[in-house]
Amino acid sequence: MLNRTIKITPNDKFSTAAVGCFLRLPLTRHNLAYANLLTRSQLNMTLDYPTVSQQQRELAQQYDLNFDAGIQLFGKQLIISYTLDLVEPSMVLDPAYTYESVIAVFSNLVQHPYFDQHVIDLTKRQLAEEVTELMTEPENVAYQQFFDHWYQAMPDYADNLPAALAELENATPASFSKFGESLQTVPTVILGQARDAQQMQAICEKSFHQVGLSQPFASPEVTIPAESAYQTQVEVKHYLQSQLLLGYGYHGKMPLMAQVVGLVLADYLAGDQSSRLFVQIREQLGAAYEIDASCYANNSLLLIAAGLDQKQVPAAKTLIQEEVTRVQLGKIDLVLLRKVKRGLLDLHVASADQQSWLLLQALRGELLPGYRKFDCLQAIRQVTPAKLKAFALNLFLNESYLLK
Amino acid sequence: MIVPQVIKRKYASGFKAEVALRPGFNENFFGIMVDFGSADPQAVAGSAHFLEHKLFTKKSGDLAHDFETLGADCNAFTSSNETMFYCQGSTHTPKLIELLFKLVGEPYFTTENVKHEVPIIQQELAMYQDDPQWWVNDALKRQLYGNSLLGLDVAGTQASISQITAAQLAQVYASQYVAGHLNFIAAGDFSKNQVQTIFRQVTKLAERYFKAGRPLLRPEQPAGHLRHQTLTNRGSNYFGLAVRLPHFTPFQGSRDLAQTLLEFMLDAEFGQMSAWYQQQQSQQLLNSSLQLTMEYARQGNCLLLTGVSQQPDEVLAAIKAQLARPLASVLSPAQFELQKKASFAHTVRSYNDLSLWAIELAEAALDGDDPYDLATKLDALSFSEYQAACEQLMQAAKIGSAALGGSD
Repeated sequence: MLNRTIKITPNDKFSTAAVGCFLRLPLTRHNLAYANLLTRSQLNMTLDYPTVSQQQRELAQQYDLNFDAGIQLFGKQLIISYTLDLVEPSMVLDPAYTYESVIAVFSNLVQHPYFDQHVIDLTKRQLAEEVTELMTEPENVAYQQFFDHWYQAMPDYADNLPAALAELENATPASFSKFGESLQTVPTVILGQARDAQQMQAICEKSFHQVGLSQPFASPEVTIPAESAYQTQVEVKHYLQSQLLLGYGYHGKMPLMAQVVGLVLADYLAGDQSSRLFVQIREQLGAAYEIDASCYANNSLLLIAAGLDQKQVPAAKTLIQEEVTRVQLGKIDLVLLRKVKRGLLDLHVASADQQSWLLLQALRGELLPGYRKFDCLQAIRQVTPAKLKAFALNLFLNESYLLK
Repeated sequence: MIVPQVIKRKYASGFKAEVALRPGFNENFFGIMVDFGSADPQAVAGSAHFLEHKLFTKKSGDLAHDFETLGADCNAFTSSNETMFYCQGSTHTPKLIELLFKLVGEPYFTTENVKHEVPIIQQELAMYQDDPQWWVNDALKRQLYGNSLLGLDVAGTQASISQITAAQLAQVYASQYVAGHLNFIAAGDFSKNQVQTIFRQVTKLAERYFKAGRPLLRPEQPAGHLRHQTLTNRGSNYFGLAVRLPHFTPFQGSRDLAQTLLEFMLDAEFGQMSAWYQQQQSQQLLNSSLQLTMEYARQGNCLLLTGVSQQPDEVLAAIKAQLARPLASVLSPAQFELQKKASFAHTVRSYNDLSLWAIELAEAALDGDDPYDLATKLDALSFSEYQAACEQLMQAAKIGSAALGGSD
């Protein structure tokens, strides 16, 4: 038998077991569109459960199996993600409810999509409806527009679902099936946690047969570089709040240690209530309820976003830019930095209380070279003002987007 | 079912405390839930929520910073009949508990700091109001409960927020933040000794900060005007239907159990497995399932059904027609058994989310409910008892609805 990547680890903590099947493919608009169509269709119905009601009934029979299918983006890589959250059979003691019965359902859902015209039509209507509703919320509009501008030279990377839907306009059972069949050979891993890990491992090995399980899953090429092309955009749609997004590009690749520095910087700027921008923009200026900063390491981007009182936008924008400049000059609040590091250390420890986070960490460990051996806690401890300054100096303001 | 251990104490002052054990978890959760929320008596709408914001302000500054110094996260929320303050951290248990009691027990309202908070809360409300769904939900609440406190947003209105003063907050605080309205909860991996230490500390802090007593809340039962409303089009196809339940009462002594049974009923009528949903989907009136909830408060109770459709009027008519059918023709014993399984699974899953689990326990304690007692009662319930209960709870139900789609 070929060496297949199926790794189930023991679960000594949770009342549920979790299993994930992850497929890796390059992020393109075509793949984004069809991966969305496929995963959404599998949430509706599959070949073995060809109506919504039949599929739901089967999940309910198995103590309300929580099946999810969707996509995750890691820079240039698109991950099709199937996850299953199941009540541990030992919590139930029902002889008809076992790992075998559950994985039989899961493998059917994952491996036997239903490439039928009426499935395509229903799923397309659902996706279109979802996009319409998402785009009624100003925050979503602002993020979509921001990333469209950010990736205008590389539209495949814009994670633009509305545009991807146009790809599906002429989807047919044949094109849908072709995409589904192509997934047999893409790199795939199965990861999970169960009380009886050995038994779950054996059952998964018997139940999943994709060729892709033998393909190397790790991807050396994840990072999308930030291309320097400063732009400022203003759109007027007459919302009550203005959405301001400032995007700083990061020169070159962001190694794992730098990613941790980016994480610390994001929290230093706009993490907890002590953070610099929270204090200045919300507490002192009274201009916002929420302000957020995120380091998108695989996109070489530090993004600062706020929903603001229209009148306070110029003042808030100035404060954000000034604060980034202060870090670039090495003017760092040392007490706050200590607090941020402590908070992140605590968060990291607390995250291990979430089964979904552990599954995601396992996925990162398979996908990102060096990640498994990387000591994130130690890296957080090693963040110094000098490292923060060096990271900030490598940033360049690349986009300002304002939705009014 | 393996049930995690919960140890409870009740004090002579009326204050309640419980420690819920979750072995193997790294993080600890500490919270104080106040039996008072946005729909309870207060002179100006939004005062309970404003109070929740303002209690973080102390003479020394923002108390959240003190939690963060310990690596902990703290937050709060307000609902119709509750306000919850909580923190989460993996170390410094005694200090976190002390800070939590200081947070809830030491008000510091000044004209200046109250005035300062007004634009922040107004921005919070503006953020909600920029979501088209807010307008449908708001219309339904006003139809159900008029312009009463339960009919308005938890935050109040833009106008009421600006009317709130330090004196009003102090008055609300003094009358409602008393021992009999408060419930402390700790959840995490604590040893027997740690549990005892927590209770000792809580006893002292409750005595220091909160005076005894439990003011009787005499809720009014406000009523609005239920009808159909077409609201200004905001680019969304969201719609909703509300059912007022004048005969909603605890079932077998539990409001949670009554709520669960009504949610089972809604799922049987309109859920993804129902014939009704299949028909709506095949006619392309609905593409995705409805959101189905039952909400209860001291001041009123309702079912809420919301969803998205390009033909909301047709779907609303179909919902009303379905609700008019006798329950005997809709409910089935087989589905009831499936729903019991799902409810069991929900309870088991809830143990894995420490904060949600702790909040559910605290809510249940204020309601005088026990989630595990509920699971046992549900398991023992027959189909005919379930059907009879739903018929009783649905008596004299009245319907209103709202959809976006009108002209500006």
